Amino acid sequence: MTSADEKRAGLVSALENVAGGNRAALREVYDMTSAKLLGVILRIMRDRDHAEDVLQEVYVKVWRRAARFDASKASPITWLCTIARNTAIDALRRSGKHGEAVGDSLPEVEDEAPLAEDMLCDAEDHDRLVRCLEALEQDQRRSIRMSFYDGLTHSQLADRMSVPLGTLKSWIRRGLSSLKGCLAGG
Amino acid sequence: MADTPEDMNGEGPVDRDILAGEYALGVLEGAELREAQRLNLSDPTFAAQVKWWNNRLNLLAEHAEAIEPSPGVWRAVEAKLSSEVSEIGQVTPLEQPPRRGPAPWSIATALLGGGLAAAALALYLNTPTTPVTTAPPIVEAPEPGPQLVAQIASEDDALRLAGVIDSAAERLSLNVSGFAPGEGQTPVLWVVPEGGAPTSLGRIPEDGSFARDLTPGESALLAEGAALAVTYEDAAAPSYDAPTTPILLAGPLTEV
Repeated sequence: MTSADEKRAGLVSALENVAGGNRAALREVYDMTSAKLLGVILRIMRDRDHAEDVLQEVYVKVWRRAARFDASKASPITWLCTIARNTAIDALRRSGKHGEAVGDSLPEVEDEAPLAEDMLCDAEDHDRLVRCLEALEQDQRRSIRMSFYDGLTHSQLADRMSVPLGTLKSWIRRGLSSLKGCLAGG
Repeated sequence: MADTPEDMNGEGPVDRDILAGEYALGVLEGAELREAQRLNLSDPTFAAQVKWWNNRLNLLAEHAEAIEPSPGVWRAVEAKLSSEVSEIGQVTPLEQPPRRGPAPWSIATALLGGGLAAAALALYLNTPTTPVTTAPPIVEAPEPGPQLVAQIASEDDALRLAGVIDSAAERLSLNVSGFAPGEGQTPVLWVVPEGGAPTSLGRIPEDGSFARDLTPGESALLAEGAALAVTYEDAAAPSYDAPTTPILLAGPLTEV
């Protein structure tokens, strides 16, 4: 077992303990994942205070939902990240502030893979996704990545990328379709 | 598939699997978002597709920059959980307006099957509080409106819901069993109108029978083609705008 494997196994068992109502286990999950999730949330929210409010909400949800985490169906980090992204996107859209952020674009997230020992997801799954994204046409890849990291909708992305809505939608849809074929094909 | 949104480019209907990917990515808005929300609640295949995408797209989170949260965040999480723990044991009262009209029939019967449900309904409709043999029909009595039933069970049969909606009387009756929400959670019933976003019908019991009057707005949503769904939600929330957890049960309303 590599140290990364051990870390992942530790995260799965901590989540199982959270499901059993163990508060110390929630702290373990928090220590292992909160910096990564705050990175994801802050990128979407843009505002540190609001991002930390969302982060807090995320771990309360993790506490309540841990019983429904199934390690055979999802990896702990994608499960956690799904909750974090959805909570951030909901908070942002509820606040109605999204339009203001569109103009001041942050630099796009780099494609460089993180160091293997820092990763909480399965390296093989991760590498396959990166490889399949690389195989997409540039506009398709870029629009999917921007929507993921910045939490933008079709029309916000079309504004950001200065293309007609129809063009943007077809980039995303064709991109997801190719991605699906590539990921399902192994 | 005829009921999926049309591509704005006029390229025809969007493949459901791609719609699920767009929903997971969070790019949908307007009618397409509502349609995906509805499918995610009412169509287990679609919900599984959304999960498939989430499990893959969220691997990208590894590329986000790690940022240490301030110490106050964990303290706030702890404070929130402690306040919840102190509430354990306090039963949140269900909104249960006073009953009107005849006592509801035993809708446990509805669990037994469609035929029996219809028979139970027919029996109910024919046996009001007064004996059948007396008095001619009261002219002022409203014509019985459509009766809708939903009978839903989870795949493993552990969770069950039988619902009957009396449109004329604007009354909802439920019989539920097997729900086991986590601490601070409650089962919440949703109506998902065809082509519309889910609307909360409020908290329901974990087990047993429940009946209440419907508002005219709720009644209007409870029509043939709509679906009923149940999720676990925060028991302390003042209201429920949209489901925040995966669907536990969903099934269509059928007119009988």
